[in-house]
Amino acid sequence: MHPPKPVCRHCHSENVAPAAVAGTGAIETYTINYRAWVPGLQVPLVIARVRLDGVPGVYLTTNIVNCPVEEVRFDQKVRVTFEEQDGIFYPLFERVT
Amino acid sequence: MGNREAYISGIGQSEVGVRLARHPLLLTLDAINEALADAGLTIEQIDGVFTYPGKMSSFLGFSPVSSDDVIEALGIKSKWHLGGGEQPAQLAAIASAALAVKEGLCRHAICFRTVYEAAALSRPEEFPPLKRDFVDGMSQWTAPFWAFSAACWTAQYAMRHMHRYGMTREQLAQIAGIERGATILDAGSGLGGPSRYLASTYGCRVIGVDLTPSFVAVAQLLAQRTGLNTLVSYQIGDLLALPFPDSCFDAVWTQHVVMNIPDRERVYREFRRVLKPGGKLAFYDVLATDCQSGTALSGAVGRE
Repeated sequence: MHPPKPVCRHCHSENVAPAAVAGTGAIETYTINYRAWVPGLQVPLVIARVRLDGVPGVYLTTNIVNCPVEEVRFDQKVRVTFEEQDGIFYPLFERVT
Repeated sequence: MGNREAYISGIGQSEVGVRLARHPLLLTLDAINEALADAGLTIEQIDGVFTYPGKMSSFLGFSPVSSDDVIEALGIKSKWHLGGGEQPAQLAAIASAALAVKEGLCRHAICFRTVYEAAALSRPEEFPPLKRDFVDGMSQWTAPFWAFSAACWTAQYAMRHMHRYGMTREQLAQIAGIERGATILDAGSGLGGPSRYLASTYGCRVIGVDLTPSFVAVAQLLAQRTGLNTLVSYQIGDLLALPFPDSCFDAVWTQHVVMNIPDRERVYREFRRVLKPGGKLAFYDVLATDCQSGTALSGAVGRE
């Protein structure tokens, strides 16, 4: 499940713990954002929901990077790429070529 | 307690713009003064203040004014106030105020929503923008990826739906053709099924006209029973001489009616007359009867 919680939303089990997941998945859906929400934000950018491989029902809201926005497609295979900023690692995704 | 009715007694709005120099608290007071004048109340009578989502120190442009700010600035002797973001949406402040009034916690409540996002962008020192590395709550899973607005979230669901079911942007736009606030004429309303559906689905006002008095009476009864009588009403009338002035409906809706009227030209001329410019005619009718199965056609056309 994601986001993490101390209880499972489906079976209410409290036997939950962090688990590593595949860094790959596919684009469930996306939208092209043209609005600069903060000064200096480079737009357009792609906001997407990625369904991760091997964990049905787990989706990550993220960005699709390293490709022109108009080339993003539904169900495209993607893999994670981490962007570090001030010690924080953001899980972004790029197309698997 | 609990027997009072709550209602909206006045509405006000401040100046609106993307480069406003006026302080957001002053804009809020402008809107409150307009609402007080509209309601015929004075500030001394106000004893409740409600807002969504409350002042957000981490993102002042999104919500720069607290209920406390308003209480302090206007010297309100508040009996009950509330500002909070963990509510379904902006209108939650109004719902909370209505409940407070009904329960007797306060008598005259101010509800406000102040946004300063565009104006704040040009003054980041005074109104710092949201930082993507310091957020909590549900925003921590979306803001780091610049999904700041509900538009960024809902657009993704709409995109998937359109991809999966082939819905086009044009079809999506058609939904807006009949919307909340629109006034629809149901020409030949019968027992009122379509008009109740339109009102309950879109929140629009529907006026039904039918030639048969008993149909009109039953339709009125059903509207009352379903609690839709604030949105739908019915009257006896002839489609060939509609009892309405020119250009008063956003849409004319007609189902299985025109096929029974010989003078088609006159009925369509009447539809056109009562439609506003840009209004829509939505119809479903039998158009041909010279073959066994007949031909039904539905569609929508706009008035130029």
